[in-house]
Amino acid sequence: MTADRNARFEGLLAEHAGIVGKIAGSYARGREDRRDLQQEIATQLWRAFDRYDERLGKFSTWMYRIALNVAISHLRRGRTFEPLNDEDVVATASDRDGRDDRADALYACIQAFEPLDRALILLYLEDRSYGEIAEVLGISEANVATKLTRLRNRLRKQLTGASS
Amino acid sequence: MTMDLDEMKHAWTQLQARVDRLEHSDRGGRVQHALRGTRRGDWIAIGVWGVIALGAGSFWFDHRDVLHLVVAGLALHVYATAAIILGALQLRALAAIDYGAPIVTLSRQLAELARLRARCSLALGLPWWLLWVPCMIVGVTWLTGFDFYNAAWAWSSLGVGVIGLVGSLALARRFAARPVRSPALRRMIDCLSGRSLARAVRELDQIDEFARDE
Repeated sequence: MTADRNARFEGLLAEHAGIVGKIAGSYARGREDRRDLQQEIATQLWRAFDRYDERLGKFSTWMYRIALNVAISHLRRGRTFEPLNDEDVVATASDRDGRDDRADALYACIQAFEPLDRALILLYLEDRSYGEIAEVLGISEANVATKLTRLRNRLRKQLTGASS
Repeated sequence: MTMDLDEMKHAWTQLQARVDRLEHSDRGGRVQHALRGTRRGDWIAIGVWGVIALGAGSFWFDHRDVLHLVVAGLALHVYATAAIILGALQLRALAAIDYGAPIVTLSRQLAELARLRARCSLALGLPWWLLWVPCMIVGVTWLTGFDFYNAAWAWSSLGVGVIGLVGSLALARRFAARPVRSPALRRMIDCLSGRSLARAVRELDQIDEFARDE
């Protein structure tokens, strides 16, 4: 029974490993921190797996929730609730770890947001429905839509400011 | 670098194919189980303060005919009891943390825990400027059986404690915005200056604002 459970967990984790990697990339600073966060997420997922009931929702939704919660908690312990400053962004971008410039720039861009907004952006980028985003975050669908519109406008404004 | 949300989505889709694979080796081996460590630390602290509360309680009861020993023992007893209660409150808050909860709920729990910790640190840390006096009286009397109490010494020590208390608060406020290399000193300054508490309250406000339907 335990072996079955282990195999099932391993399978589901491998299937959705990209989620963990991308969340870690968006919340951790540097290579070591990213690896620690990936492992911490995997550990918490494993601990919580007994409570996962597939009748209550998709594995990916459950996984996003736990992984994002662990990432935000990890970030708090690193004491960085405020958005990163330019030096931090440069440090993150310079630690390439085999990733390309586009990915670095994307992660740096995401890391400029506060943790909760970051979670919202991540879920949006992952093409989750508003209903699923609302469920993971614990806010209403209307609120998700409003916040995404605001974020879009904010980014546009920043982009316009940067180009001018 | 700034990207539009649509550009980000496009880049994200491209990233999908190259995203780092999760490393399975040594799962959890190098993970810092900070919350679990905190919980263990709180349990140990409660146990130690429990022993001190019992000791202080029996001390002032045994010396109930000597006023200054009763006052010193009671001060330590009350402090130890407060430390146990505040420790238990923190443990309860830690036990409520559920990674399966919605993000906003867990963020709020963590921010409330941070606020509680900031308040507890202040409430339990600052009295030591004064508490060392009754501690000395109780400790020396208990260990040697010799009552070395001297009113002039006790009052002057308490006076120095008050000056130290006010001075440490003023210094912490003065250095609050300055860079400090030592993380432990940084934590102490943030605690004394009220920055930790203010940060926790600000985080709670941010979370409430995020969760509010607009």
